[in-house]
Amino acid sequence: MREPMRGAIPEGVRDRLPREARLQRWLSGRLSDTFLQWGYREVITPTFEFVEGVLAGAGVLGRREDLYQLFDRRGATLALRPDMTTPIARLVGTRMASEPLPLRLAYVAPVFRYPRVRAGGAHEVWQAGVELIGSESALADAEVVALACQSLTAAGLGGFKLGLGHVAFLAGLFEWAGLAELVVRELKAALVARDLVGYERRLRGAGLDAQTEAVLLALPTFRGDLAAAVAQFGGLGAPSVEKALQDLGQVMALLEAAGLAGSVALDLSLCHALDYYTGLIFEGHLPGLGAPVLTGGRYDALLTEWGGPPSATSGAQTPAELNSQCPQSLGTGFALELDRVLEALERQGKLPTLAGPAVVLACEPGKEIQVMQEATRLRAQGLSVEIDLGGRSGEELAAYARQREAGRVAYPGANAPTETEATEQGRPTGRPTVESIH
Amino acid sequence: MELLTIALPKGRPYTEARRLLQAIGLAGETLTEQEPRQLLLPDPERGVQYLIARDADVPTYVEWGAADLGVVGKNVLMEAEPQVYELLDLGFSQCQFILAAPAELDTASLLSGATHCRVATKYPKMTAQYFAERGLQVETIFLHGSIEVAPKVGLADLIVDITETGRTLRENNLVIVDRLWSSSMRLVANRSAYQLKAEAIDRVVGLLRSAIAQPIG
Repeated sequence: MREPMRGAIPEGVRDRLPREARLQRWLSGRLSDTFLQWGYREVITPTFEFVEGVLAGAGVLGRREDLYQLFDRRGATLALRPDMTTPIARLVGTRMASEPLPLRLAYVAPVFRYPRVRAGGAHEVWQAGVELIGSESALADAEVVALACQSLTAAGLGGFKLGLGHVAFLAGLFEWAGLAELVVRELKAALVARDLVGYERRLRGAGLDAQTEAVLLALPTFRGDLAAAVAQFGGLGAPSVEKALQDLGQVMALLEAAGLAGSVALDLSLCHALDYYTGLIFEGHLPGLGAPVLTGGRYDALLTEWGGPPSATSGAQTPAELNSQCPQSLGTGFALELDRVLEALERQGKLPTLAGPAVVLACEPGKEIQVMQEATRLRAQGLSVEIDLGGRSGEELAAYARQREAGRVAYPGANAPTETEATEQGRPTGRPTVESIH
Repeated sequence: MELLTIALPKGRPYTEARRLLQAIGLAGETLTEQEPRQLLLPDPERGVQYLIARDADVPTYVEWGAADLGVVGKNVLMEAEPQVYELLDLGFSQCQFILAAPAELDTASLLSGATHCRVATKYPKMTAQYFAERGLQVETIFLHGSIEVAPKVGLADLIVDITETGRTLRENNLVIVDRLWSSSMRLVANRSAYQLKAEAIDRVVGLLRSAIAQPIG
């Protein structure tokens, strides 16, 4: 193998230099504040855990080869966490088991996995998200969707749209049509891949009567509000379809009450690749970004692994039976990717302006004491202060201050003029300061 | 209004795509009969702009949202597996993935696993999948084009390629050993644009759907 270049880092990870690091911290702060304002308390879990624990989330990712794995010194296999939902399920089922429900938990953390699709994709992905545990109400679902919208708004983004679907709607429709399990799996795979041509071909080859076929053919291209969905897919005599439409109706009404009617739309053929979702699911889209900026949904029964009744008795139970005994297993949440949000902000020209230090202090030889006193005084006033350690003065110091985007320079202890404006370019005068980050 | 960006492939499919788009009134003389040399062609009157790209690049433009819609062969989609909506089979540029060998080659013995076998192709992923599904171990050699010459110069024993009429194969003394998959041009859409520009995209899909007699394969 070729020697890696000096300073090279592995595939799929990258450095954040000061500008980007600061923007990411700013965004995380915005999101954490929003989560907290909605009653979501942040948790921090270990970067790596036992691989069994990571995989225990009923096929959270399902594929061991997607994980970064390592060994501890006793030979136990560890894995870098591929998502935050499973560690939070562990917390809820074990260390937080005695806390009253519902539990509202939030996180901002990197997750690690080998991407399946695109070469050049990130292996370390910073995510922010929430989990709302212990409620199966439409209000809980609506709250999580509304918070997802609010998170994008708090970041400063506009023009986004969340598509809402329901796992039971799709499953119920396929069951109603009397399709064989294999056909259903192929149809779902086509929907996950958004291959509508393949979906139609598979369906036409399934030997359905014309009426049933027409209903299923209309599914992937359906657009419209709930009334249109009920008109098209209601009254078929498919109980889980009715239930799903009812769920969606309740959630949509609540979102309308939250003033979000314009930011959400039905996406009835939405089908997440992961099997663990059980109810309402959603995906958020931003203009100009190729891929969804956030995904989420309800995953009842995922959390039973730790919190549920002893597995000897749970073997033959349905999720509904488990849920009645174990409200901790009722969960809904979402995760968004920080990098995508930052990319969208950049495209929309809405990144905050980063201010440099307010003051750069010159340090002439012999003036160290005065410089330290002045720096302390200014910092106590809440100003950001940088001391020049390069012995610069005059034009040289002004140039340095400009490069640091400083507000002004000052010469503590000097007889000459003690302060000068850094220069006109010292602060970006043309652009209004959207927000300063200190 | 923001223009809907539609990526079109260069080469043979361009002519057919142009004919279809002009027939439904979505393109005018902006799409010239000769493949335009300019790569970005705005047509504000019709609310669209065309992006002329290599066929293998069309899915990339669409996947990343640089184009909202794209016209591209299923063969390209199968190899690249982009995260895009595949909305319509446009029906033209029909072709087949084939496994071909020199006429005089004893392919049965070659594929029995008794000897080492090399396959040249422009579609390494599909080729690997085809042989893996049959439990055959072959060495795949990637080429950008002129696949049919590979057996002649001893680069490979077999080729996996696409063919419309089979003429190139015959000219190179190759015979079809197996037909793998069929392909034709598809309309694809960016995942986010499909939700955010629903109205504009649905209009294009509606026009195209009524213009083509959708063949059901």
